[in-house]
Amino acid sequence: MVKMQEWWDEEVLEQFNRQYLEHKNTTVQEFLEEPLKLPRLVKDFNPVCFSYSEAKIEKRFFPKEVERFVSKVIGRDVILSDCRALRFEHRDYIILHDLMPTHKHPLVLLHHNPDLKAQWKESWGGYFGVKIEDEVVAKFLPCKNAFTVFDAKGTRNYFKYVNHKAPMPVTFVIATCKPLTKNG
Amino acid sequence: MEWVSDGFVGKEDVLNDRFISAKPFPHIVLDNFFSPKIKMVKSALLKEKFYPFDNDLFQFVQTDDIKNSSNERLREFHRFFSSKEFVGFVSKVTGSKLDSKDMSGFVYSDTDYLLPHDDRLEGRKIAYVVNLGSDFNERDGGALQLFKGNKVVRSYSPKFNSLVLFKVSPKSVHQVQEVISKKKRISLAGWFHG
Repeated sequence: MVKMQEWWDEEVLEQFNRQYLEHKNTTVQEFLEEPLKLPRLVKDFNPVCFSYSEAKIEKRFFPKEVERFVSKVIGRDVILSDCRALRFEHRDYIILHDLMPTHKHPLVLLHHNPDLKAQWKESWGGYFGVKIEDEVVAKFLPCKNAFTVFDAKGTRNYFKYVNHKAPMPVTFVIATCKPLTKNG
Repeated sequence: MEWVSDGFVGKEDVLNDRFISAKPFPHIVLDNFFSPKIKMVKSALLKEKFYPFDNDLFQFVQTDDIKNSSNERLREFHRFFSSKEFVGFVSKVTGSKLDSKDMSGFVYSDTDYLLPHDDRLEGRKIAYVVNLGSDFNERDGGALQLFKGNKVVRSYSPKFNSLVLFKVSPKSVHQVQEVISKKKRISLAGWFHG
C-alpha cells in the first residue's frame, strides 16, 4: 500500500480544491513518502489501439487517506477503482480508437518515475493527452512522484507516442474516482 | 506515358499477379518507377508550404492538396497522375476500377511517425506513396511497415523514385516507422477512389 505525505492542512486542501474547480485538474508534487513498489508489468500490444506494459493493481492499493484527499480536492466523496499501472517506453502509445469509452468520472494519475532527473519535454511524447471531441484540452507530462486529479467526465484520453529522444520509460498508476454510494 | 520508366507499361498483367499475391495484403513496390523528370517534382514539392500535423496517431508536416498548387511542375505531375492513361494503368495493376484521387506532400523528420491504422474511409480503394527523399536504410527508421495481426511482416525502407500501391481494406494495417535520423522522408501520397 502507498503512503502519502501528510503535510497538507485544510487550507492547502481548499487551495487544491479551488484549483481543481477552476482548471478541472490539479497536480500535487512530492506526493508519496517513498517510491512505489510496483508489481511486474507485462507487455500488451494491439497495433491499432495501444502498446504498453501493464499491471492490474490490487483493490486497496490506495489507502483511505488518499481517497479522503481526492474527495477533498474534487469536493465530493469518492473511492478509487479500476486501478492499473502503465509503463510506456520508446515506441509505446495509446491511440484514440472506436472501442475507447468516454469517461464518466474524474481520474487520478500517480506519476511514478523515481529516476526522472530533469523536467520532461513535450517533444519527447510520453504524456497523457485529454480530448473533448477533436480538441485537446489538457496534457499531463510525466513528473517524478506527483499526483494529478483531473475532471475526465466527457473526455477521452490518448498517450502520446514515446519517441527515441525520450531519456527513459515513464510509469503511471491510473484510477477512476467513483462516487461513494450510501452502501460504500 | 512519358513520366513512367521503360519496363512497366505493357506489363500490367505481371504486375497485377505480384500485387494480388503479395502478403499480408495486396500491395506492390515499384522501384525506379518514374523517368528522371521526377527529380524536378521533388525540388518543386520542397518549395510548397508545409503545415504541422500532430495528434495521437501521427506527427509530420503536410501540404495542401497538390491540385491547388501554384507550381507548374507539380501541377504537371498531378495532371499526369490523374490522367485516364495513368489511372487506367493503376486500375489494371491493382485490379480495381478507379477514378478520382487526392494527393498531398509529406515530410517526416527526426521523431516523426504514423502509427498503425488501416486507411479505411469512404471511397478509398488504393493507397499510394511516391517516395521522393534520399534512400533510407534500416538504421534511419521511416519504413512503411505492413502488419499481419500484431506482427510486422513486411518493411519497406523508402527509396527515391519508388511507387508503392496497396489495397485499402480491413486487413491493410500499416504504419510509418518513426524516423530516427536526420534524413527527411519526403513523399507524395494519397488514395485512388473508386
